[in-house]
Amino acid sequence: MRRKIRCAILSGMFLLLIGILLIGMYGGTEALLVCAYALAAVVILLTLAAGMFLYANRRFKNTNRYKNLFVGTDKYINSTTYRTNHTRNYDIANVGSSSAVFAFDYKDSAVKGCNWAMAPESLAYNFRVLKNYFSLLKKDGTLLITMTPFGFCLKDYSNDLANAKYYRYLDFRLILGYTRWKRYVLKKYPLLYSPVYALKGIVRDQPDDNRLALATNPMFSEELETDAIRWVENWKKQFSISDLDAPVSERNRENMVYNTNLLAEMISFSLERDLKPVIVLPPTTSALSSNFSDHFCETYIYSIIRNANTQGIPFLNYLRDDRFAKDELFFNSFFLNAEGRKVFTQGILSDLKLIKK
Amino acid sequence: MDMYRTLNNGVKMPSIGIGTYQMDWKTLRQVLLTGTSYGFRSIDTAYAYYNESLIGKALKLIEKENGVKREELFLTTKIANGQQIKGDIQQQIDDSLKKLQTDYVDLWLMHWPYPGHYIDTWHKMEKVYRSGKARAIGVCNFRERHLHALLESGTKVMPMVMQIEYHPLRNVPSMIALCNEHGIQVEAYSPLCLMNKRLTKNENLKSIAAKYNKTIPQIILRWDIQHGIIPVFKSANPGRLKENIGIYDFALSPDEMESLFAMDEDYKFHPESLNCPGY
Repeated sequence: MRRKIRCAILSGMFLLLIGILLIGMYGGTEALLVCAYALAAVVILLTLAAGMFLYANRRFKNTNRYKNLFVGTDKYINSTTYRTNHTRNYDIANVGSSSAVFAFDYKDSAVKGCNWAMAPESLAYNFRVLKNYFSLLKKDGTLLITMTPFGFCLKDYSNDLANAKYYRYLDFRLILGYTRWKRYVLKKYPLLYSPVYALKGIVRDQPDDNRLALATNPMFSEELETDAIRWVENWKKQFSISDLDAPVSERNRENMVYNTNLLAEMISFSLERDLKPVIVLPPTTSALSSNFSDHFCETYIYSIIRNANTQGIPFLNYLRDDRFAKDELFFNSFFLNAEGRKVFTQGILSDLKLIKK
Repeated sequence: MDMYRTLNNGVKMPSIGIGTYQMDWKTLRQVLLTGTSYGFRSIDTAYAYYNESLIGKALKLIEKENGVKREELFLTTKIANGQQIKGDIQQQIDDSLKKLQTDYVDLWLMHWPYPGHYIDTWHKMEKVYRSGKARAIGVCNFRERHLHALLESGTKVMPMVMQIEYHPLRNVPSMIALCNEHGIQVEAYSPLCLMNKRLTKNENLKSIAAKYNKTIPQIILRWDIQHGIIPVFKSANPGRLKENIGIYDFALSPDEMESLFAMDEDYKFHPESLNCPGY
């Protein structure tokens, strides 16, 4: 790729030079002089533009905005790290979106586990991650398919930027809109992948994403209430829902059908590969879960799981589980903090009888 | 012990082979010239190794320098996932043959059961087999479910060979039993599991090796051929090549054979789904 770019630049400059020389040859000394100045100006401008581009590109690569695109991607094992890492036959793994990222931590447990969740991620990408990594699980290993309250309304993110992280750890055939050019620029010249996003990052950077390190909840109960409302309002906006208890819109219905089929397919896929799939709905604070009526849960979550789960795999619902709903286990109204992660992971492993109480 | 195994179509295949994955020309040249001078006759490559052209060059060199003709060698190559997706399987074998500078391969394997394509690929490979461009055809990295699906799809030609990751730490008994049931010859890649410390530090293997005055790799390769598996090993070290052919002058006892089987822990060196998503 780099050679192609160099070739294109050199060929362009060569043609420019030839053109100017030809003009000079047929236009006399004066024209030649004008052409020489023009050439010098073009070279200076191109050099300046290239310098500015390289500078901006380097600046962007040092921003949190760039680094945050790939937060957590180093946890995935690739063929090389797999060979040097002698752990084999993992007992358990989970896929999922943001809530799953913050829900599971197998590090200090008695089982070998992998958290394959990524924030944020659609169910379709959960499945792609599963397809890429399931061989790391042992025969009869447990696979947690983690759900979120509005996850079934999401098909895939329309913004191509959401695909960027997968270039780090998914097989190229599984990445939506994959091109070799995008792979190249993401690695070398990320400024070109999404110039607007990059320039915003250079002008005004965002904080480092250190949410996984948070071990306490900095929010008081009133702040949690506000945070919960913020989450709900954002979801309502994202999925064009005016009232959570109103009938489901046509678009959301279509996506829910799509995800029902996808979940059913994931279950079959796992069972065919001698895995034990389990559907999990992680806990949230009561500040958040109290926004979800029984009618909402039935419409947006439970009915879909029921329709997809024709093979009768376990469904562990912790949405309103008092054991894990304490505010101090979260770092906002939705996500478990480091301590909460440990407590919840031990709890689910115990419920699955993978560890003793 | 016979230096050849007979496949289910009558083709004779050497009972041990040399793998060529990730070898540059200098290494490949040395390995193949030295290997064939020691008596190795089976060479294993693949489209995905990107060295078929070098193998073609080496075949000429082997004939010129060692006097070993093409027809004395057993040449294996494999069809890659990308080729399966393209679907023009007839064209793909022609491309491989051109690079290998030969009219036929002795064994053409499907490298992975690529989801959504592998059954169709197999049926197209059957046609290539009938055309004579491959003396035998087979598959790699299959699990039982893949083989069952293939057989249920109306297979006209039973795979002659199944190449899988196989070593004392992973001896997939149910897959071997299924292959035996259908007369499919099992070929082992990574037979030494890259001399994983679980093998090199194993006291049982050490004591068996000491008893026969052999090395641990020789014991493992012997274990392979003694129960009818064809190992394909990779080594760039001429000394190891000589060592690895020296496995025909002793035999392991039934208890010793059993003790190697007992090391099975389904330890995979090559995670399948990382190579073949959705595997």
